[in-house]
Amino acid sequence: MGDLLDFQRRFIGTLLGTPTADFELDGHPAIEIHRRTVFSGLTKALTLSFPTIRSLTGPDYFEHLVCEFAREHPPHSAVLYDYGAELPAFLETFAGAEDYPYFGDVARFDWLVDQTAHRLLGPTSAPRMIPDYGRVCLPASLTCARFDYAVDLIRDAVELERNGESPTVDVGPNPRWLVLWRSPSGASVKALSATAWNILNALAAGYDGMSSLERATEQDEAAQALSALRDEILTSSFIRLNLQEP
Amino acid sequence: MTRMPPALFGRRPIPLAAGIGLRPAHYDGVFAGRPTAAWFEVHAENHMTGGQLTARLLQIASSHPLSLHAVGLSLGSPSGPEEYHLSRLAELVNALRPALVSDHLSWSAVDGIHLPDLLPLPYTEEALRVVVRNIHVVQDRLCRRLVVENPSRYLSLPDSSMSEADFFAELVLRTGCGVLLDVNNLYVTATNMGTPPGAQLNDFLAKIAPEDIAEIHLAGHMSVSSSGSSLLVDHHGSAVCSEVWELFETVVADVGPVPSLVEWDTHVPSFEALQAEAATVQSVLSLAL
Repeated sequence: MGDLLDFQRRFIGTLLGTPTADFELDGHPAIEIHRRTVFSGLTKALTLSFPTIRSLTGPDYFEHLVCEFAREHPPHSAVLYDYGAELPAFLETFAGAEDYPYFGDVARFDWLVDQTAHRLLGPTSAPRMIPDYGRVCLPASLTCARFDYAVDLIRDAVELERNGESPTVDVGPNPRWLVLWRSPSGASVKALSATAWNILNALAAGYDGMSSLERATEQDEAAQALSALRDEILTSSFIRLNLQEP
Repeated sequence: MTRMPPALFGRRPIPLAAGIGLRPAHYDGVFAGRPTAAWFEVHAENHMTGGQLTARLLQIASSHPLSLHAVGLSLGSPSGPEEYHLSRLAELVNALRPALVSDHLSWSAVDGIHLPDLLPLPYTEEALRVVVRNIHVVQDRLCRRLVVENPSRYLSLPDSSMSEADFFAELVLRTGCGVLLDVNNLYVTATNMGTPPGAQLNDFLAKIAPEDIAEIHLAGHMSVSSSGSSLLVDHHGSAVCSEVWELFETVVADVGPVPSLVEWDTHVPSFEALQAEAATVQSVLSLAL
């Protein structure tokens, strides 16, 4: 088994550009064909996962980014939906991206949208009791995420631009408190106030309704927390509220 | 020799007819109730997630025979199929209950790195033992016969000590696996190795029993020039060439009708165009009925 394993190690090293010494096939035209297949497959996969980043950077830079990323973080699975989790952090220090501090956040948001649409889901969590309202059920796909930049608006703007429009968007620091969940179209996104986001984040983390409100009122007025709960969370389409079982 | 049931657990058996390689872009067409196909083949790795795509495939599987075509088992890896991948494949097989499950005679993974390509395996005794062991692992886990496809090859590996047909014959003998004969891959490999494709096909047909050929693929290829040499590359992005159609006719005349389809992965045509292409495949198969 040693010969085969050694051959395969040297083959993959040559494809990824880190060849071990004296691989007799290095330079064979077939190696270049396999290399192109590998990198075009990875580029296609990461284009699907990071569409906003590809649009912002342009296809040539994105392809270069993918090649360098793949050499440092090669895939470990045949299922490429799972590939790319480390790309946002990699991008933040990648040559040429330093002048665009929002790229890392945008990449994290792209990844989260894709994962929300595709990842295997665990079981739905138990309903949470909200005093005076009833039991709420949160979808298993629900994720709360906070960003330093308006990544949802940037992604929307890029999408509009792709459709021939010329939107303007602020790419400066602009904190966003977002919730994502799986929907028939893939993933839905909603921006919340910080107060509502804190309550929902606590509910999603497993706290009951009273504890979640208490945690929110450590930072905000109780009336403000109740208002955020009522107006931003309980009216959302991702919530299932059972009023019959208070 | 181990004989595994070819399709014992299939929800619906694959008919000896032309099928269509179903890609996500076509799912709407199937749901829209257009006339469909005798059976569909889908890529396993596209459905190893929890998204809407997999939910829709489950619906399709309830009304159409399926062949599940994988690329990720890496049958030629000494470390064996990745456990997590195999368990996901087993879950998918249990959910879809396809009539056929297939992968390739190639490798993609070593030391935990898994590249998205079907890399060439030297046809040696050592490689044969590895692939035989891995096929047993997969068949035992899936409780069914695995079907193994001949890959396109772009170089002759100096250590190979047997022909591709001999390698396949040993695999079938030692594992009871089936063979997915990709006629385009055979043509591409033979041409790249400087062997007459007809001779390579005859070698294959002489060594593999007709009942072990479970499925046939056809596809398009392209020619690539590099460093003064020219190679054919299997890219699944163009029409099947006349030489491959002729080889397909030879296979059907020799072994009889076999579930067959044309694969597309780039420049994928409309569903209607695939149906028209399937009709051409069917016309060849019908000659043997």
